[in-house]
Amino acid sequence: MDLKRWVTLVICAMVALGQPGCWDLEEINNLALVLALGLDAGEGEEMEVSFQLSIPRNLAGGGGPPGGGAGQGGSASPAQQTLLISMGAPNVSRALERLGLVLSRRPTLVQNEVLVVGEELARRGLARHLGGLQRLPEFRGNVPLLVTKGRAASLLQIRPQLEPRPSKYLEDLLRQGHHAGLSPLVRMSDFLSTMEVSAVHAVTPLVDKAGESQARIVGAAAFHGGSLVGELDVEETRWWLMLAGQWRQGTLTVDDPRDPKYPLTLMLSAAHPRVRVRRREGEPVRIEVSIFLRAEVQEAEAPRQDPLGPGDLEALARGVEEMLNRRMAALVRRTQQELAADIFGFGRRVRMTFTVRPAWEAFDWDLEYPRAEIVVRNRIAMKWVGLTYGPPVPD
Amino acid sequence: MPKTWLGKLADILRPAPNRARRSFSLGRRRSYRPPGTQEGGPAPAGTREQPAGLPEGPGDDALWGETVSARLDENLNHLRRLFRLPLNSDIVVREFRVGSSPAVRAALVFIEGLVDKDQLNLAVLQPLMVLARAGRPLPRRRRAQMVADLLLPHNQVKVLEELAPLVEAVLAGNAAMFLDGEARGLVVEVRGFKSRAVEQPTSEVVVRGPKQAFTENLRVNAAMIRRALRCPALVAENWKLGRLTRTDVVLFYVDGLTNPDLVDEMRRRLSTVDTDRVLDSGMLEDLLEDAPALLPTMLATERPDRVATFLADGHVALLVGDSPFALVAPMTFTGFFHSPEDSYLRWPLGTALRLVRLFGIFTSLLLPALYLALVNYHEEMIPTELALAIASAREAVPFPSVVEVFLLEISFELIREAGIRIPSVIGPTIGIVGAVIIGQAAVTASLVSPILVIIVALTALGSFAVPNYCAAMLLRPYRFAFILLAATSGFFGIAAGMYVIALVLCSTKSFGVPYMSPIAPFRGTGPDIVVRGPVYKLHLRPSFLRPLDALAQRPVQRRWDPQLAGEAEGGGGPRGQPERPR
Repeated sequence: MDLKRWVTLVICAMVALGQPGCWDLEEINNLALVLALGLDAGEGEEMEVSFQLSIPRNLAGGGGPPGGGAGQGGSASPAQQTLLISMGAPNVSRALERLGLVLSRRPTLVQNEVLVVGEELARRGLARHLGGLQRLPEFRGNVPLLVTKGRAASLLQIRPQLEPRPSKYLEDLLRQGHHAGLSPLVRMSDFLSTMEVSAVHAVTPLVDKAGESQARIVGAAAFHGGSLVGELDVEETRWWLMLAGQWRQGTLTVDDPRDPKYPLTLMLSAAHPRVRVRRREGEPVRIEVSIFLRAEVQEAEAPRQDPLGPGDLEALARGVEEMLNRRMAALVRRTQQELAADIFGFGRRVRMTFTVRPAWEAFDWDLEYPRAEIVVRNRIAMKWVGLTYGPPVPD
Repeated sequence: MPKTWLGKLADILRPAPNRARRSFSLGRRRSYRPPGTQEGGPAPAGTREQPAGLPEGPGDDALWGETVSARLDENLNHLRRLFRLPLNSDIVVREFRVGSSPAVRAALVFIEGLVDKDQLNLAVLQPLMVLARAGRPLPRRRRAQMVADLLLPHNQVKVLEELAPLVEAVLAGNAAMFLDGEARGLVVEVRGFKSRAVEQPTSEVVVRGPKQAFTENLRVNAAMIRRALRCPALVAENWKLGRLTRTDVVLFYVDGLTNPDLVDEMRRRLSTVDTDRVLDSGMLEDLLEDAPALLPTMLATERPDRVATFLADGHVALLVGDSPFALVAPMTFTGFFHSPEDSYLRWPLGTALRLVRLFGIFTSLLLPALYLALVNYHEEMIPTELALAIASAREAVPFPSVVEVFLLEISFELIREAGIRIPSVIGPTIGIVGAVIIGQAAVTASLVSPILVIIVALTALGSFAVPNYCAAMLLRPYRFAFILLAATSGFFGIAAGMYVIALVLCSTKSFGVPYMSPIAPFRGTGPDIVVRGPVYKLHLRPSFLRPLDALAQRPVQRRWDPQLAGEAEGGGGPRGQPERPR
C-alpha cells in the first residue's frame, strides 16, 4: 500500500508539473532579442517602427562554434552583429505582430536597451503611441528615451567603434552624458508619468547622427505633455540640469569675468536647488530658486602676476554667479514665453502650496506659468584651485 | 455509493492513521534521579543479553542456559561439536596440565589470529604450566577461583558458569579455559588481532585541530573518547546486536548531564533491533533513526573530538562494533554545515567559513536550476551582455538547455563514481582527464555550451564544501528534482520546491528534537548557528537537548580582562541552574 501511495504521488506530481508548466518555456535561442526600438513618423497617422535585433551567432565569444583559430576575426566588425527591420504600423504591438511575418524567432522586448524617437513623430505627439507600449508585459520602464534629429532608423544604423552595438552605445552615451552634466537622462516610466501629471513636462536628450560611427548630443528636447514644443541647445541644457536639480558634476567653460578674452574652466558640483513658492490670490505666482554650486578652478589662463588668492577667487565667483543668473533667467523666460511649458518641475512645488486637490485642479498651472515671476539666484563657493595656485612663473 | 476516481485517489493518498501511542518528543526536563533507584536509571552496566522470546539464530544451538560441566571431556566434546571441529581450522583447543600438586587437566580454547599469542604463552600458559609447579593443591570447589586469584598474572580474568558467554568470549578474541573437576570456566582477555593504525580522517580533515580518526577496533575507539572526556560520569553501556555478528554496540552518555529521557529512548530503540547482521554503523543508523527524512537525522563522524564535544553538550553517541564511524544522536540541520574547524579557529574566521559553506550548499542545490529558469523563462533578468553571450554560445548546440544540463550533470556523476573506484595510481589523472579534457572537448564539439561547464563545475565544488559526507550525497537527487522543477515552472517551481523542502525539514524530528533547532524553533542559547560567536559567549548548552545542566561554563569568562572586571563581580549564576521553562 505504501508503494502504491508513493507511486501515485509521484505520478500526480509529474502531471501537476507537466500540465500547467512549460507553457512559456522558450529557449533563449528561439527569441529574437530587440535591443533598440526606434519610432518614426510614418505615412498618415501611422508610425514606422524600427526593431534592432541581435544576431547571436556573430557575437565574438570564447570557444563556441568552431572556426579557424587565426582566421576568425576577434573583433566585432567583420560580421554584422545587429539587424534592423522597420515596418509601418499604428502602434508597437501591431508592429511586433507583423514582425512575426518575416522573423524566424519570437521577438521580445525584454532586453530592450534604448528607445529612439524621431523628431517629427515627437512633434506630432507621442501620447497616442507610447501609451499602448506601457501595457505590454515585456515593457521595461527603465529604458532611456531620446529624441533624434532626423529619423530614428538612420540613427540606429551607426556602427560605433567603442561599443559592440548601437543600442549600448546610445545608452552609455546618455548615461555618461548625464554624469558629466551634458544631457538629461529620462527613463520611459518617468516620461510616461509626466504625460499623466499635468503641470510637469519632460525634457529628453536630443541627439544627432555625426558620421557613420558617432552620435552627438546636440541638446535637449522640451515637451509639453507628449508633444515636442522646442529644442534647447547644449548650453541651455546645462542650465536646465542645474535648475532641475539633475546636475551631478561637470566642467563648465565660461569667459573669465576679469578678462573676457580668456576662458575659465570650472568643475561644478551642484546641490539640489531650493525652490520657494509664494502664491497669493490675484497675484502672479512668485518662485525663488536658489542654487548652491561648488566650483573648483581647473583652468584659469588669464595671465596674472600673483597666484590666485582668496580675493581673486571671490571676484571670480561673483562674476560667474552673475553670468549664470543672467543665462538661467534667459532660459526661464524662453520656456515661459516661447515654449509655455514648465520643464523645470516647479509645478510640483506649486502643487505643494495647495491643501485640497480640487483647488489644485481648478488652478491651471499651464496657464499661470507664463505669467509667473521666477527669480533665479546662484551662489558659488569657489575655494578650491586644484593642485597649484598659479601658473609656472619663470625666475 | 460507488466511489468516483477522485475518491479512490484520495483513499490511496491518505496517510495511514497513527495508531501508535504519542510519539517521543524530548520534553521538559524531569527531575534527576541517580541510577539504581526504583524509578530511575539504568541497571548496572554490563553485557545486555538477548531479550527472551526471540528466535535463536544459527549460532545458538542449544546453548542458552547451558552451564559448564564439571568434567573437562564433556565440555570439550560439546565445544568440538559446537565449533564444527576439526573442520574449522582456526579454532584451537590446547590441552595441558596445571602444575599444581596433584596436576589438574585443563584446556584452553581460542581462535588463532584473534589472540595475542605472546600474551597467551607468557601470561597464561607459562605461569600455569611451569611456575605453578611448586604450588599448592587446587581443591575441587574453588579451583577456578584460586587459579584466577593466585596463578594467573593477567590483567583481566573472569570466572563464568554459563557456556554461552564463554563461547561469545572466544568468538570475540578472548581465550576460554576449562579446568577438570570444576563446573566453571575462565575467560582471559588476550585479544591481539591486527587492525588499522590510528590515521587521519578521510572525510573530515581539518588543518587546525586534532587529526585522529576512529579505526576498526572498538576498544581503541572507546579509549579515544575516554581520553577526550576524562570524567567518571561518562558511561559506556555495552549492547550486543545481531545474531550472526554479535556486534558490540557501545552507548555513550554523560550521566547527570544527558537527559535521561533521551537515553531511555535510545535504549528502547536499541532493544528492538532484531537482525542477523550489524556490520557497520550505517546499517544500525537505518534501524534506529526516525522515519526516513530528507537529510540524515543521526550524524556519522570519524573524529573522536567531535564525539566528545557532542557528548559534553548532552547528545548520546554510539560506537558500533568495529566501524570507524560513530553515530551521534539527536542531530539537527546545523550539524551538517558545522565543521569542527569552526571551533578551533578564531570566531570571525569560523563565521566566514560557515557562510562559505552555506553558500556552497545553496549553490550545489540550486545553481543548475537557476540557470535553467533564467535561460528558459526569465530572460529579462539576465544582464544584456550575459544574455547575448549565452545566446551566442548556445547557437551551435543541438540540444535544448534542459537536455544539456541533464547530460552534463549525469556525466559528472559518472566521473565522480568512477573516480572512487579507480586504482589510486591513475586516480588523479583520470580526474583531470575526465573533468577538464572531456569537458573542453564537449564544448569544442558543440555538445554543450561553455557557460554550462562552469555552472556544473561550481555545483560540484559547492557539494564538496559540505562537511558531512552523507548530506553531500543526499543533495544530489534533490538537485535533479530542482532541475526538473525549474525546467517546468521556472522560478515558481524553484520557490515551490524550496517551500516543500522547508516544510519537510521543519516537520522532521530527530529523537524527539525538531530538526531545524535551533533555527526553528529559535532558542537563543548562544551565537552558534551561522554566525559563530567567541567561545566565551557560548556558555549555555543547546537547549533543544534539555540537558540537566544548562550552563557549560561560567557566563563571564575572561575575568582578567579589565573591561569585564565589573561584570565579573556580579555576573554568573550558580551552576546547575535549571533552564527556564518554555
